[in-house]
Amino acid sequence: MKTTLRFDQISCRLEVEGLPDVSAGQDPESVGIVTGWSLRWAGRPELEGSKEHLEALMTVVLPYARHLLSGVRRRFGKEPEPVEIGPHPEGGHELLLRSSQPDTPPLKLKLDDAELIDLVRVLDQLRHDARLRIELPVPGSRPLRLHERNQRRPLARRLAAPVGGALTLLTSAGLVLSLSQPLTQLNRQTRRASAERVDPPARKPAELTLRVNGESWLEVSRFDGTPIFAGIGSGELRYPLGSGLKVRAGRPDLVVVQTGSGPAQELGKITEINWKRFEPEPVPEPEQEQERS
Amino acid sequence: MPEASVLPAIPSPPAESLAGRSLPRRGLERLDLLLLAVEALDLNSGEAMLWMSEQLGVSELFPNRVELWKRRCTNPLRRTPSRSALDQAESEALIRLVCAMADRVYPLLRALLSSVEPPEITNQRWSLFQTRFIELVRERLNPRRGAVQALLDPDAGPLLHHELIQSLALAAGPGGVERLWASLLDAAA
Repeated sequence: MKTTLRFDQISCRLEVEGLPDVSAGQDPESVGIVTGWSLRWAGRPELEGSKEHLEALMTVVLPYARHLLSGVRRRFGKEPEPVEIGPHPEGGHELLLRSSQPDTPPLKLKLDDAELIDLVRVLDQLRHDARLRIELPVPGSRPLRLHERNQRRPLARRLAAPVGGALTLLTSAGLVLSLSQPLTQLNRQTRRASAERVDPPARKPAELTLRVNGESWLEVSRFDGTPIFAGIGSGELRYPLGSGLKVRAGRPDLVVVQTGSGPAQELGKITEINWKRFEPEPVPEPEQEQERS
Repeated sequence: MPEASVLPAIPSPPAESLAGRSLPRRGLERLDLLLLAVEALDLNSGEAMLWMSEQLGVSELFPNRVELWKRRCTNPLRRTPSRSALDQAESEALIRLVCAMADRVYPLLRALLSSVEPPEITNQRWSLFQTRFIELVRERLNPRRGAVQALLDPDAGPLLHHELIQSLALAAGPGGVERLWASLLDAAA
């Protein structure tokens, strides 16, 4: 005996016809074998189909509703599956039904939120009806994973945070670098200036230069008598002035003497065979140096 | 705490995927916001919640308004949030209560979501709901929280209110408990 399960909501009515599976010992009021179903919508064409179509409808509509509850609006079902559902571009939802009859275009239905929820409710009622004794391939509800949840946010918004962070990082790095360059230059200039100020150019140690025109006996010693040179001198001879030197020559008229950058002069007349003392130049005071610089 | 008994009409969610998992912060927030939306829709919902608790067999968990209020204060967005978390039985009872209340106000939810009626009437309904809801949010939730500010925001608020009404409608009915429970356990985005 045929049994009809009927589920009503404001905008739709679902009727499922079937028979009990007597071989499995089911009671006469139950439905173990679905022979057909129909879905009547207010102001829309009636849908009919086999058990497979009903399963296909439940397989896409119930997960769509589950995702919608988490704010994820994505499409379920794709060609060649008989049922497809997704958000409608103009708002609401689009249910697409493909006929198994050849040359029959798919039927597109635009549903508002209320109609969709009515449909979900009749499918839920059917699924949880104790009289229905068949296993429906409807996946149970489960929490969405992070990547599934992220689908609710547009790509631009999802990328906004990481891209914004990267841009901020780059901007900060650029700012730090651009600031550090003038600082480095300033530091270099300061260092150079301070080096110029604090460390005056290395002064060459004062020298005593003796140019002997020809040959002459020559004696060079410190003020305390320490001998530095004694012998026949010729050409140019240079000695660090240190704390002072004294020079004596056999032919002082042939010897030209110069201390540091001072003027060159004859050591003496041919008759002046005596010690000539050469003092080091006085070292200028730092204040004077600064003033000069 | 005793295990919450359930209405025979509302099947239990699959234990392997949902049961035994405590609600995350977002879940607690959402659960309380859904009840707040129910209160905005139904002026007698305070009494109705207690009556529904009895019907669901969870009156031992929520024997009076104060006990129910304490559980709802686990919402971190409250002005005076409770630090204690909901245990398994309390979470389940509160989810079932939300779904049962959503089922009770389903005709109102459907009227708000339907596009069949003239837009003026629908707008009037939304306006009434939003006025009440915003009053409740201002009265009970912490206005310094970003999520609360978003609910009160004239631009972003209406979309969030619509989402709440849609969620309540999807949580009503025989499959609602399982759907809502799963959605409250979603990974934090």
